[in-house]
Amino acid sequence: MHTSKLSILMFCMVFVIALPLYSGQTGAFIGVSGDYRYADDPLLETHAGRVDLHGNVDHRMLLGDTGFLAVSLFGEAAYAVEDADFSDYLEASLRNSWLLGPNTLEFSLGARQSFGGYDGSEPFFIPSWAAEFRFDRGFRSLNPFVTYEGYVDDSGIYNGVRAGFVHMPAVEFRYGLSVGGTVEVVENADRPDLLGSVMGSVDGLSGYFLNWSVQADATYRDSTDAAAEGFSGNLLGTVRIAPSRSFQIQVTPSLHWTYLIAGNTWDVGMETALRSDFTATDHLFWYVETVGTMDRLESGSPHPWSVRVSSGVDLVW
Amino acid sequence: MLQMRSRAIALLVILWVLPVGLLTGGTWSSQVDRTLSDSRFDAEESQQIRQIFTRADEEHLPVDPLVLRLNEGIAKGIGPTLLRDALDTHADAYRKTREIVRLELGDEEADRLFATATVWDRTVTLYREGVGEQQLGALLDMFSKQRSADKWNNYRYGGGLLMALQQWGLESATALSIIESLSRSAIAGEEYRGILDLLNTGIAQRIPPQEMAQRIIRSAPKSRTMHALGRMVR
Repeated sequence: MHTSKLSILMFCMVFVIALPLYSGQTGAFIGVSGDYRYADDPLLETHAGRVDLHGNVDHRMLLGDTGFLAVSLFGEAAYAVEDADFSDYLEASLRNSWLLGPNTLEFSLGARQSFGGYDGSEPFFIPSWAAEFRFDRGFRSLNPFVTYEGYVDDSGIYNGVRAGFVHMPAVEFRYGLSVGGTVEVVENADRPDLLGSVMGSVDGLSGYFLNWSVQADATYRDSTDAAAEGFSGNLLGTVRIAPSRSFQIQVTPSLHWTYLIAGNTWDVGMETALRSDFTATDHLFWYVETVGTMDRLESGSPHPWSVRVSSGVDLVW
Repeated sequence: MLQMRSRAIALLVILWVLPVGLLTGGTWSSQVDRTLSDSRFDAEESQQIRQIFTRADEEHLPVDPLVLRLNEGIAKGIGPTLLRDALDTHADAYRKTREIVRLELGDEEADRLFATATVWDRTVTLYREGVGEQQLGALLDMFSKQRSADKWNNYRYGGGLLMALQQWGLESATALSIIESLSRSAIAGEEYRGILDLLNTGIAQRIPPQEMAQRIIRSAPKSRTMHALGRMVR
């Protein structure tokens, strides 16, 4: 199993490295970043610092007049200062689209892998796949879509279907709604877990330089494991202001919640990120990000919280 | 008998329409007189300003935008010399853009453009914001070739996008190339402003603006909507 994971990864790397030999456009960037976290949380260390080196290679090409192919490979090696510990992360993806009249059929394959563990997790290998068909009936029309996606991890195999629509009554405002169902085949379970979800989104532009979005989803899990059965959801907002090519700022508040039926328990947490990107030249990018997190908002007792500040530089060629 | 009755009806209609026309056709004149009489300008200063409107009307330039500027200027307390110069400059902009449009498109197509006041207004705005004659000519040429019935409306949005892209910091030649590729697409003009969102998302994904611009230029003619274009370039 380990050999096949390595083979897949090596294949992706060779393919991506050889991509400039194919027609199309190849892009790459490499960067370094560091972050510091202060936490008032019994589950986390009070002070934590990390530095990382990361890079990305991607290739894209048009296939005749109706097709499109994009392949990318992202990698990161990080060092946690307090633990004197290294971690790694690799992500490969392939996306292939075809225009069928005004509509689009898209296939994608992906894989996420860590050999030694990443961000506190054990080593993992997670392949994923998806197919989507989108109707394009034109601007201001209702445009339906249907998606199938799945992935495999150490817990089991996941397959889901989602159907919905996107409508843009005006260029300043677009909304979408979808419903989905997922089957999770979990190891050692009597039967698969069944999940039903609803997802909605609204987004828009204000003038030329400000855009915003709000997304919300809610999921119900039906499981033979009573401790896992219940509801969960997310609410995410984004506002980005980009008055020039050399500066943009983005605020992203989010809320996540879980309700477990058996224990009648809630778990609510929130996170707010503030990020600024500076483009010194077309090839040099600098960013600063602050993320504040607060958990267990459902309880009256002091809430564990943390603040992380990170900054990095990326060089593009 | 029938012929005499028809002539009588036609005469009555003319006699009815003419006074109504005299009453409403002098709208700008009465508005200008009313505004100037409410101002602190003396007779000579008012006459100099009035001459700008008279000349514009004789030359078949749009007078309503000048009336608007006059009202704004009086409300802001701008002095007569400054106001006269501002109105002169604005009227000159209409004269100049009319020349450019006629030179680029020919009289027949130019008249179609001038028939929609907002399109001519946008042309004047572009000219006054510093878009050169060559760039303006290129913009007119690319949208004149569009087969859509909304081409001059799309031109208006294309012009707005050009100003926004230049303000954002994109080079003029690249900005024009993006708009040219949009003019060859089926994307509605109202959606053009979504290009800035693509460029900004590109930066967040470490795609340099020039590279993202090239992707847009290659993919736009194949796209029906901005959303579809976004899927191809990100």
